[in-house]
Amino acid sequence: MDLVINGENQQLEQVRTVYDVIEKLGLSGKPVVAEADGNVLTAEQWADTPVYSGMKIELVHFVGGG
Amino acid sequence: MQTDALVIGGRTLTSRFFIGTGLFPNPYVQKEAIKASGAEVLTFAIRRINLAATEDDSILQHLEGENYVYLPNTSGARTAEEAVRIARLARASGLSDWIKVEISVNERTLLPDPIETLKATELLVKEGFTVLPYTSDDPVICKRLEEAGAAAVMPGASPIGTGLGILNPYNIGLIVEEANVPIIVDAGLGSASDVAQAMELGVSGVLMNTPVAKAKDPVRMAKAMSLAIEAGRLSYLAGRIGKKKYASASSGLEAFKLK
Repeated sequence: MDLVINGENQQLEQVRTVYDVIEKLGLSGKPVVAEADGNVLTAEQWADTPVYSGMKIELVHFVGGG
Repeated sequence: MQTDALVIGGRTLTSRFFIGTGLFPNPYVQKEAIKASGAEVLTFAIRRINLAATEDDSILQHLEGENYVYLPNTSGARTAEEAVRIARLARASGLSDWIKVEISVNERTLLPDPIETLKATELLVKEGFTVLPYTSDDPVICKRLEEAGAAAVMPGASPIGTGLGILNPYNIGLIVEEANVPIIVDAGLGSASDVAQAMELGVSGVLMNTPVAKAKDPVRMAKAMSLAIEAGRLSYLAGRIGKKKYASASSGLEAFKLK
């Protein structure tokens, strides 16, 4: 499936939900926050949020800052 | 001595030092500096994950197991709308509903946009965030942010990362006098003397990152800053003497002087 993740085109196979995407990218278990089509998701919502071709997903995390 | 607690958003804080987590030479030095600072509130930024290198360390994994208050910022936001989006992302992490509103447009000064900051503060307060806006050292805008529901207001001493210290101590003093919420000086402090000056002006705390992280010895500087906070706070509470133009002798009466 073709997705736009953090502004870049990504092709991921066998992904149905945001949860699958995060797992596929090797990010499960890490403190990640996801936004799908402009909607901010809590981790509990990942598995209930289906993905579709062309969906825009943002994956962010905390970095050092003041 | 009576107790002198700092309460923000219903939480009693043990330290008046808010420390940033950027720019440290490595995670070990950062962790030791945070320990030496005694800080309880730690600031962070929110950024996109680099998908080309997902093994990159998240800042949080080095700080696990401690009872910190997380204060994510909205740095990178240029408008209220962008700040609100970043705040929602930060809260969805489940780690904190505190947010430092930080909105800058001018890359050279990074000075906060007070109008967008006020808008974002109003919106985020309505959404139930504990909002700590970083703003300019203007007494009127600081008051407006308080009225908008900010849990604390954070005027800058001087532009971020400059180490120029408090450019307008008169304004910082006025802001404190007028305030009914804690005032935290955020940005621009350079050394322990700047920190002591801020605390003597009556602010409730200071937020620093660069002057600790970029010091030659960040751990030692963290300790120095924490002592300066304590000294400045005690000095403020104790009440300094007035300034006079001419000398006044410390020991007594003219009549008993040896002639």
